[in-house]
Amino acid sequence: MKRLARTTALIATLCLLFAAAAQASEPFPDLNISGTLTADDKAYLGLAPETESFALSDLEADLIFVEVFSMYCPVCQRDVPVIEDLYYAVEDQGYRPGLALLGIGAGNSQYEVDFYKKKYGIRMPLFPDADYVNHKKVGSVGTPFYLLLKKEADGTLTTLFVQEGGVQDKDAFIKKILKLAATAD
Amino acid sequence: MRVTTLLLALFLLLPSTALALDTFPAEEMEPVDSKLKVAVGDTAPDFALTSTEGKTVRLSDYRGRNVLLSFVPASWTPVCSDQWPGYNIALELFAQFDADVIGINVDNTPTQWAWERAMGGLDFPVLSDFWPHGAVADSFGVLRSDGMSERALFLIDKQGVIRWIHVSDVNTRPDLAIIVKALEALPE
Repeated sequence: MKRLARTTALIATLCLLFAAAAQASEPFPDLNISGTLTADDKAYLGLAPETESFALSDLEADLIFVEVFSMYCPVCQRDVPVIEDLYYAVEDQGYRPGLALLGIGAGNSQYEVDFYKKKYGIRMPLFPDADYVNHKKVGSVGTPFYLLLKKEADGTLTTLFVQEGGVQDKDAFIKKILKLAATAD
Repeated sequence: MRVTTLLLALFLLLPSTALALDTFPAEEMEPVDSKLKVAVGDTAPDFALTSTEGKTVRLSDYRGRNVLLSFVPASWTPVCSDQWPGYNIALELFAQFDADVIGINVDNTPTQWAWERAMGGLDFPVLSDFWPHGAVADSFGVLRSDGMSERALFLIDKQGVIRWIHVSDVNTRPDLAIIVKALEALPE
């Protein structure tokens, strides 16, 4: 019985450790992102033409939707149409340029990110994180992991929305993100 | 203590798509724990294994096609669960090189079947090298001393000759780019 109690405590501790990922309404670490930046990516993100790498806080947008994904993750693959619809909803409903979307490929090389982007015709900029550096900063989360971040006046980032795991209801998900974006101060 | 260790291992081995992407601790698994028994230029050992669809699949059935033979250590582990779904969406890319994928691990068919379903299905054969345990992995020299296979890739050409071998650190997924580079290097 003692062994069971010890085991339960151990598992609970591990669960808490894994739950140490970003939470809504909390400060969020600025991420340094590098990888191939196309002219379209730079224009979309409001980055200068000579930009080779950037921090999230460098972006023109005050609101940033981030997907931590992997081309190897079947749930990420399944959610591609959801995020594409979100991308177009942001475009069509006047949220640009204040809201930008981007993806970070956890453990994915530039080749793998490029393959994934081409395979699904993904519009939002995607960047590699081959060594899991940004993935660890986010909290070594499972994929997909969705975030809506707000850039404060001093450049720090705050989380408005966090979701680990796939989207269950596409319309509700998009509606929620857009509502949060519309009501962010 | 044994129960605790088992549960800890099970926790760490949960699929990354459901939880974190942490792999089994490297200090607990040697990166490579076997010695190859084949080399580039050798004819690949033929095998006949059962797929999750209940069919018998022979390597020799693929003569005339290039084959990417992918051994992964175990079902329901983070890296393995993140490897084959990636190959699944790259099948068209591999097909550009007349290459088909065959996946093998040493688990039994019911385990593989459940795992494959949890991953959303795979469009290439998943074969069980469960019994005699790991015999095919052993014939290639990628059976680890703990009974799992290495995370290993063999590119076998249309004549059944091994053209490329990559045995990864068992804790790490190989980059797709190196596979494509090997496919590009195949003789016409």
